[in-house]
Amino acid sequence: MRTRKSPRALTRSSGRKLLLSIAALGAAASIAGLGTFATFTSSTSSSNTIASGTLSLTAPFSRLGTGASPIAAGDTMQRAIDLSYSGSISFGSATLTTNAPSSSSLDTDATNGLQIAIDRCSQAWTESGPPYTYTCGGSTSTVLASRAVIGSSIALSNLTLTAGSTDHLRVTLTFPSAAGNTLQNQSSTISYTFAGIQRAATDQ
Amino acid sequence: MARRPSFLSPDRRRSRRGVRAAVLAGTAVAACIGASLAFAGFNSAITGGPMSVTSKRIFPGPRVASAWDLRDASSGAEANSSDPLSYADGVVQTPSTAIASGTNRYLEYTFSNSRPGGISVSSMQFNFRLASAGGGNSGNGCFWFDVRSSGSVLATHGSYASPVGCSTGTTQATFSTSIPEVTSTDQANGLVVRVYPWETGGTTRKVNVDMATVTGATPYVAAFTAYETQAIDDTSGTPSTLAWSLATADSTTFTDVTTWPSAAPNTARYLKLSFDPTIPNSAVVTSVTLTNVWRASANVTNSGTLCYYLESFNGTTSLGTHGSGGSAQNCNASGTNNVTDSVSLPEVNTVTKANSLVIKLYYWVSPLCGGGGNPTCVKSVTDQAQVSFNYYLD
Repeated sequence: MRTRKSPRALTRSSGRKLLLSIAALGAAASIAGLGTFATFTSSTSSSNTIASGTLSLTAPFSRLGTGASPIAAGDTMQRAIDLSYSGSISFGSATLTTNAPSSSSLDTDATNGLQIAIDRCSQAWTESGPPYTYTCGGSTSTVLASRAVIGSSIALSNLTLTAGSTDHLRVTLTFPSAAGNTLQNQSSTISYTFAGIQRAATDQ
Repeated sequence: MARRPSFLSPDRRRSRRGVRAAVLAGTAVAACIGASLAFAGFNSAITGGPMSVTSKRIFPGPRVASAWDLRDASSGAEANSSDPLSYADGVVQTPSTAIASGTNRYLEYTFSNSRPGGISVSSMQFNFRLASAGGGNSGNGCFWFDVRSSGSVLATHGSYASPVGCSTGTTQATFSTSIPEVTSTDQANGLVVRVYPWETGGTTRKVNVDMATVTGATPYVAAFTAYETQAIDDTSGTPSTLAWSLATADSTTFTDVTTWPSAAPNTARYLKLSFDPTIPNSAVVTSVTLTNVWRASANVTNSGTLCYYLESFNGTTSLGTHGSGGSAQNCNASGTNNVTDSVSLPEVNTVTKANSLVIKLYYWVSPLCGGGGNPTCVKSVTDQAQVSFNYYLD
């Protein structure tokens, strides 16, 4: 025997149906959007093969894990890192994000705390030390002008970014000469994240 | 189709409409996210480090200590000519005027600037030793004080109604009072303490002050002493300044007791300077330099001149000489014009040697003095004698 639903139950049931309908419509719209804006499209030709490339940023050589202690005002720390663009697609741009998992006024004092600058050498840097210093046998260019060490998505300049190439970088941290006594006996840990995004889309 | 009648109240219907609107909005956002994902490019990232950086506990820099302990052996026997206020040694300073309770007249002491800045301090104390200067109907010496830094009063200790301490009669008594308001070397360096003393006798009398120092500790030295570099005597109501003669290059000087020997120095006749830099044990001493500002007590005539050389000691162990009886460190024939000698002391290259540094200055008049057409023998006048200790602590 079928039981008659109460008016209240009927209303709840119809509301649920309406919601489900709307959700279904939304999902369909999503899928339609994906399909509409996708970069790669399939072809009706059975003879065409389309394969996506890869974008890969690696650091086959890095001294960034080498710390410095104890430093005094006016000290500099040079560390080399090689950035390799090892995928099949070139990069369009690169950024640096730094943070301090262990923080002190060395990284929070933007004026008298640590300052960072990055230079690029057209060939591998010649290293001496420790303490590490580097000389460039080729030509140098400024990748990042001196600024406070901590920053997010800092634009980097003068990188090759070409697939298969390597940029030889020298990261220089400077502890300003003007650093006062409040910066004595401080300790920070700095992490560096280099990030790149693909080149602009082109006709293929 | 006929619209089904609603059995919900108007309020409930409004609530349902709100839920539907929210669901619609959420669906639209989901659609947008889907579309934006369709536009995302490739990206890649690599992380370097982490790199640990630690700064020195004490940055490199010069810290200056004057010779608060001065022994005058110009006569051949050492006499204590030290700063009267730096040691409990019976060498006292007597303010100009008798002083009674409630006058608000004071003695103000400025302390040395010898500690590296930016370091916390603990166990800070002001140490004051006084007594009545005595005389008929005299009483006791009492005081209260306030502590000042950078022109501001940090705290007040005691009052006329409740003195910090009173000595009994003319017997000197030391009162050490905690001054926790001084929390860093930035405050301790150049600290000012203004003391309001009074004498309790039926007849107002003066007080004698034997010592005024500040002591404390840092994370790196168990105990240090800050000595006075300047005292202001306002007991008369008109402040007059009396600096420790060797602390600054000014008009306040020290003249030795006896004229110096003729022709050649005598190692039994000297001025002996002791310093108390209190350098932390693990520090690295990079350089030590003596500054000696001096002249003759009168012009040395007839082509004569007053000369000296110096010898450095680690306590009583000789470390080295600078100049000699045959080749003076410097000479000066003037009785009015000071010469300033900066003498590097590379032999003082450890914390132990620096903390125990003693310097003897051997003076003589060259080529001859006294009688027979020779210039009159003279004394030396020292305007400043201080050592700059350059060091750091990793």
